[in-house]
Amino acid sequence: MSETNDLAARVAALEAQIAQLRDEALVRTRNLQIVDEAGQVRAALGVGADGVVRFVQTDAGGAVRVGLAVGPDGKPGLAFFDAGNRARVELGLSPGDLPGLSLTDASETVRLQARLDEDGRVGLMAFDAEGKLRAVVGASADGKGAIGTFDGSTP
Amino acid sequence: MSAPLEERVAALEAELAALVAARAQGRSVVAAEIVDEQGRTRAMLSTGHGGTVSLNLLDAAGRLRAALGQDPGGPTLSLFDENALRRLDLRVTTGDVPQLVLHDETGARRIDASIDAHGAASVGVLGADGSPRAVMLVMATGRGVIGASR
Repeated sequence: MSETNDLAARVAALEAQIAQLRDEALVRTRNLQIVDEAGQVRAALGVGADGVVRFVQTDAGGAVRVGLAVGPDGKPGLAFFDAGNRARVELGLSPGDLPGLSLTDASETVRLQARLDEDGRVGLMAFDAEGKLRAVVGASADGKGAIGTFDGSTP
Repeated sequence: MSAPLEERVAALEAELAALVAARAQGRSVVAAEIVDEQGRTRAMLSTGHGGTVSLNLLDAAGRLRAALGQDPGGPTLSLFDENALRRLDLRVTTGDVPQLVLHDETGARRIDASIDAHGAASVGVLGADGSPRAVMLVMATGRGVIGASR
């Protein structure tokens, strides 16, 4: 029992020392920018005037290509952008805190989506270039599995 | 009884030694904290013992909502709901398995997409009880399988 108490006291002392050192080694700021050799911002972490906290990475041309953010409503999301500033891969939580993944083509049509729906449906769906559902692997709200392909007449 | 405490002491001593050594070498910044106009912490970029690196984003209420990190288990991106439940994980596991997992409001896995160590690629849709309900699989041999449970 005494040995346990000694160890617990040692843990507490070490944690206090580490906390102090970490606090001394902490940078606290509103915005942090990482620049390249040319002085161009290539990554930034900060809180915007819109209340969004975000981490972004830019390409050599200054375009944002990766963004990880938490919005004013608290919803987190990650997006990968193409050179034309179009979000092509998005991972995030929808307003109902439902997780989802979307892959989008160059015309900004969602072509592949994995998501949980509010009504309990779960699935992976593939869409054609017009955004029509063409294939699904999923489960209905009552738990029944489903796989299928569609001829494009399903909206 | 004291073994976990002894392990904890050893880990803390190693972490303390690393911090002291880093400071002695002029490498003293181990964390950056981003605060909003109200002074609330909204993001933390930090390193930890054992080579861990993490970027955590918090909502205005101080709840962890997104975590991007690298630790001995591999790189992971996790998104959390307002109840601190993990709802989405994207990671490469210790077995070098890339994996995307979507969780429901109870924390149960409902969609699991991965490529296993043998090269099989799969997407599994699970019921609320965790049982497989639909699957799409391409085995390492190249054979494709698709199926659903009624």
